[in-house]
Amino acid sequence: MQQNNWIKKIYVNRQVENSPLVERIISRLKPTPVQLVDRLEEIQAELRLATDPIAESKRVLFLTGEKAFIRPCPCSPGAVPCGYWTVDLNLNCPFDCSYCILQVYFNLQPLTIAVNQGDLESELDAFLADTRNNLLRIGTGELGDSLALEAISGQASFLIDLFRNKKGVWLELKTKTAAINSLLTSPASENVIFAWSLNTERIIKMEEIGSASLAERLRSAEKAVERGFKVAFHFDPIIYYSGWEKEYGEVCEALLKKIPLAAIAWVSLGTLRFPGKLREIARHRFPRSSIYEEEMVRSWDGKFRYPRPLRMKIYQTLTDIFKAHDAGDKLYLCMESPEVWQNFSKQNKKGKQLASPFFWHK
Amino acid sequence: MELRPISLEEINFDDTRFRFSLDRADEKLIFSIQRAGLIEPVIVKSAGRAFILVTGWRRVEASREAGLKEIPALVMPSGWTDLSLFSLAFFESYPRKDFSLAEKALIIKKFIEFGLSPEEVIEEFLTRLELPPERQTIDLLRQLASLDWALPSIHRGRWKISTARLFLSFFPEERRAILDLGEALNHNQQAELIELLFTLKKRQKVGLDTILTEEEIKPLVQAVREKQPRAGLELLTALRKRTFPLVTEINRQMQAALRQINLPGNSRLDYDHSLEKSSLTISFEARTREEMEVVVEQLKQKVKEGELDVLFGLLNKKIGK
Repeated sequence: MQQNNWIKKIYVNRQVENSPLVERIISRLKPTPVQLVDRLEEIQAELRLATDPIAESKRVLFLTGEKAFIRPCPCSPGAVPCGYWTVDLNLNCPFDCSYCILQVYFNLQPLTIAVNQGDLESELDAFLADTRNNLLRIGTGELGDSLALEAISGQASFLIDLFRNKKGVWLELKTKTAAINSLLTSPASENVIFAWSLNTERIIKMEEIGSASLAERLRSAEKAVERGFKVAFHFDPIIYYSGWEKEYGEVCEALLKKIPLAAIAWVSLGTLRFPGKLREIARHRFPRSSIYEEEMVRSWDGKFRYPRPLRMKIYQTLTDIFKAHDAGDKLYLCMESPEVWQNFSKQNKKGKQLASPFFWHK
Repeated sequence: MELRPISLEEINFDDTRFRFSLDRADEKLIFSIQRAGLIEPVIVKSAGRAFILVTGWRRVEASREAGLKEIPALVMPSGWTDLSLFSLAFFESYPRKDFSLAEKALIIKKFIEFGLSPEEVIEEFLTRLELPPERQTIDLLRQLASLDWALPSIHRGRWKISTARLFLSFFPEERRAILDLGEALNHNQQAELIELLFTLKKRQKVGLDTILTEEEIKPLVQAVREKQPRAGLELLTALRKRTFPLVTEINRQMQAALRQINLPGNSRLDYDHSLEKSSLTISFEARTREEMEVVVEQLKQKVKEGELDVLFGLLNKKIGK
């Protein structure tokens, strides 16, 4: 995603047409055609005509303003929440992962960049003044890849400067790219964490279309560590298939071999889960993928998951590898039930149990 | 337009260009026409010496069954285009009819054939028909409408768009087999049948035929084809077992273990059959404190003696290598 020529058209909300960032982005993407619009619906009317509107929405850019940027991560009702916050300057993602929840979450949302990033400064100050106690984790990778549009928007660079040395908050930039070089030119900050979503080469190749390879992601992480940044990793979604045990094991080993433990802030584990609607969309959009056809049950929040005994086996397998490297305490589970957490804590965590299983909570 | 009686023999029944209703005349309508005649006129277009039905297929079929020779009709002026007449037919039904997906598919296909652009169909009709207002909906519906042999079953089954989409992903010869197997099932069961067959086919990377000739499945398929009672439901159960082997097996063991436990009074043991929870639920009724104390004591004893351990063991079962 270093090249920007996948963008077919730029739509600019008339209200922000004079923004300096709009000018910069248009000039970076020249000669991509530009059209002024008054409302998002004008773009959506065109997307509706595409044979694959979701794929099409990833090829058009919408420059606009957003009213607010910071929100609590919605997690899943009934799951053990980790208290994460999201800061969304971009919406949608140029990658096309077969399991991506944004296919359901967004309804014809073009790649969207909020160009009124200056408004975030005051929102962040008010937010930090209002929050106490726990150390906050806040990240940009929930509604799009944190770095995939960096060459166009420079948003990650802006965020790093904004969060640098802010007390009581960690900024996490979560990505499937290797596009990190431009961000490593400025000095590291203790509270800025680069994070990579990790998967096996087979899954990356088959299911994470357009993203960087595993080797490229790990190499980027190494570079970030060399520059003094802390890094994090997300095994999410872990996908069950014939050979998963060996191949995920290899990814864990490769990670733990390349990245020093002291530089790893956290590692999350989360098995594949999805609402029924996503399966309907993805089966149609990704006829070659078979990740939706394994044994799944409708779980407590209405999402489909592997049966609990299988999930526990998957978590245990990966946890054993991390424990063998004295890295068990870096792990946490994402969107899991108290039942599974309890089992995980029993076998992995010392001391702190379910009342607050996350080590960044006081 | 002119209101006048027309002879049923003057109607060209082969010309179904304006027809999208898949309902057939039923006993009630035939009986009503026998007793009271056809009160509401149908709408027709004049075509030479014959008439083409614009609206009222069901009423005309019922009138024929009821033995009528003539029916009242509104004959439309010749200046009306087929698109205008089809719009008339659609809007005449729209406020009072809950269209099935199969009928919606026919409606959309015909609007396109009569000259509406996809944009116009998206804008004007898809949302009104409670369908996603996107180009790909039109593509799917047109594909569905082309399966005229399947439409009556899809109509009777009141399929949802998600079921139709999965159905269309099967090969043509596989689609016929699926419709046959689902004939005796209700619409939820038909949807489940298609879902299970799709999942197994894709998981095993085989054709439908391979699944239907597997040892456990083949005799059940045969029974369905012979229209044996409950055969369809038994086939569904077998397919569920193949699709959810882990959950099915633990549930089977749980049920077997539960049968071995002799619970006091009218108490009941239950658990989450999806296996998301590892807890057991015990419920019982008691009319007095004394009655309750007796049951609680007996239950305590069962727990103490480890009779329930096998259940907890199964609910906390770990998968080995």
